[in-house]
Amino acid sequence: MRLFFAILLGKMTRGLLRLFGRSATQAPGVVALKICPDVLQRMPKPAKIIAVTGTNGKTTVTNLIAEALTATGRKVISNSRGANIQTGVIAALLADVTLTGRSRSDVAVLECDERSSRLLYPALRPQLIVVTNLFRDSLRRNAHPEYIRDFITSAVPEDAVLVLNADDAIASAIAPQVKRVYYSFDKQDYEPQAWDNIVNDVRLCPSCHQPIVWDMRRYHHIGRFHCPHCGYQSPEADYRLTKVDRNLLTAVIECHGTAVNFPLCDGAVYNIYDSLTAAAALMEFGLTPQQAADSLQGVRVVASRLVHGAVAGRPLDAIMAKGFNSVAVSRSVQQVAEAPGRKAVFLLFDDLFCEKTSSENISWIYDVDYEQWAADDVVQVVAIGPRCADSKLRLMMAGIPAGRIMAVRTTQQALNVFEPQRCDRIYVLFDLYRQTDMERLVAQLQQRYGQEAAR
Amino acid sequence: MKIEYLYPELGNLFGDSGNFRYLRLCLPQAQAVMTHLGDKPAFLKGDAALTYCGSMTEDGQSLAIRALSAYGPDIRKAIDTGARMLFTGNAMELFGTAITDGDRTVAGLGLMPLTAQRHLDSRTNGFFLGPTADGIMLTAFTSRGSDITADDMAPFATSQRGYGRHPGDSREGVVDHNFIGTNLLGPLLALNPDFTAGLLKAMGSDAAPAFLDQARQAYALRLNEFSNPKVAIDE
Repeated sequence: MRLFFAILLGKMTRGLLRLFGRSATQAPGVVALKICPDVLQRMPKPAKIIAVTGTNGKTTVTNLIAEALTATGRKVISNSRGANIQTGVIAALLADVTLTGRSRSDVAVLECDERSSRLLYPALRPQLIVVTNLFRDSLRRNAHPEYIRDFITSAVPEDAVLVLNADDAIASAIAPQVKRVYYSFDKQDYEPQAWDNIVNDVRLCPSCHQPIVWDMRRYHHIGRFHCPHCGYQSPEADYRLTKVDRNLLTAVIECHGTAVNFPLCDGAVYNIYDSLTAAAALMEFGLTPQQAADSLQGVRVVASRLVHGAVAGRPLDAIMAKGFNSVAVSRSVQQVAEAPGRKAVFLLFDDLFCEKTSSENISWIYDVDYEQWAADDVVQVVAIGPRCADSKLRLMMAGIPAGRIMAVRTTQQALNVFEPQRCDRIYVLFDLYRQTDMERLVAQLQQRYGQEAAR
Repeated sequence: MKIEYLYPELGNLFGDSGNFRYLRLCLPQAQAVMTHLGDKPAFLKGDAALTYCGSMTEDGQSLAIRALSAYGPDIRKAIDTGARMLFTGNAMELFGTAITDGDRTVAGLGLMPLTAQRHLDSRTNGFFLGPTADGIMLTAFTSRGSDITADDMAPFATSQRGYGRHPGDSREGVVDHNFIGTNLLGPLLALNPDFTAGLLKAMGSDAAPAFLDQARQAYALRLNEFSNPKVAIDE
């Protein structure tokens, strides 16, 4: 009876919120959980459940898998908007449940927060758990990647199958007792030499703790290595991305002796990993390589994460990266550094949620590879937010001359210090929770300087 | 002058490697010595003006304890004779007698009357405001999965706002001769130009902290903010 009322009131909450145009990604789950604390375990669920977790890329991978499975004609339920803690997952599943206690969908593809593993996996019993990677994330919640590895390990059901990144020595070591498959991305000729990243959490052999030798390091601890002391090495991949065509946005993935051409959702290296992860998950789910490739055709990265526009005749790219997440921000920093021409960058990373009541712990910015911007082609960096003075100090430490760094508190002030004539391209790097500010900044820039198409 | 980074492959979490990078910018002429696991620490040879080590993983702590245990009495002697050391985050726990983690106990080097108690699943977060024994007001942050008890050791600082060694204790960190152990993150040196100026002087340098004007500006804003009772220690 309790379960029935939890579902009923949860669904009513959802209906009401949607009536008023709200997203209803959490509140229905909060209501249902309050009424029935084990609602997630007991509620009807699709017969097949795929969980997607990891530090970076899990929303993109979740959306890729969900859209691809939908394209095969399956009914799919997903928390595609990233509501990935217990209440968000319950809310997503509530949308799928009928009052007669039936799940409408064939498959649930659920993004799962790493720190929610112990609440989610025992109740969901997913057949597949897909892990993108494990990096440093919010030090407040996640401590460090080894802690998260062990945390997830403690929650993985014995009968699940793990889909793991063989190029990530931390993620690939999750739950060693559980059945697993690995995916890997071969080094491409066009890829630059790896930067000397500040953060590299795999410097010692996981087995004997002696220094490892990198056979290929892409960034941070992503790559393939061996230990000259004990012979330990990165796992062999079951799904291996061998070749990328960046013009056609396609890649060749080899699996069990078969090579198939797959579409990519985007050309950025982390998005190539996302496409590979999704492809491996789809094949492990049971699609043939060709079915998996066909189903991913036309699926692109969610627009909010990557916005293209123009200001003052110059191309503008807004790139989302989670604040507190030094690796995600470093990836965006590298993307800017590798772009041609003179670049101006706006930074919108200060955590306004934290700043409402307290003061953000800014130590994470010292793990970001801002040193990549010390070259002359990054002509202006505008740090926006309450922690802008700290950001300026950090950017100066990175070797960026003080005259190129502007520290301002608001987007309005950012407009006043921006000098479009100095740059050929404009970037806005923004935190997940600063999307509104990003949109406001882009609109203000376009209003003041025009939004004609890029030269 | 030599400045030593002890186990940079381990002691680098939570932005803490920024302490050493900032120190190098303050002392561009100094020779930076990276002491890796298996190497004999430079401070044992008596030729490091400062030895730094930062926050590390729990497994990293075990590796560091194992590596340093070969030098136990020599480390104690070095500290007693004035080796200058700065250990931030949980790095100071290496020198204590034990680290408890639920039912498990990890033996420390046993060089200081200090114990640590891990609470990994419920981390302590927040900012810190308080003076050192010399009266220098510190602004920094805490994010940790362990507390320490060290009642017989002098504290590094006293909390006016923020967490000390453990709940209910306003004493923060430890001092033993010229050894400073502190849980404070930031990185501590970049966020506290006055403290860094004092440390540089104590190391025998007349250099000023790098980017002093900007560091002071950021510090002043933080000091003002952390002193405001309306600003909560944690969100």
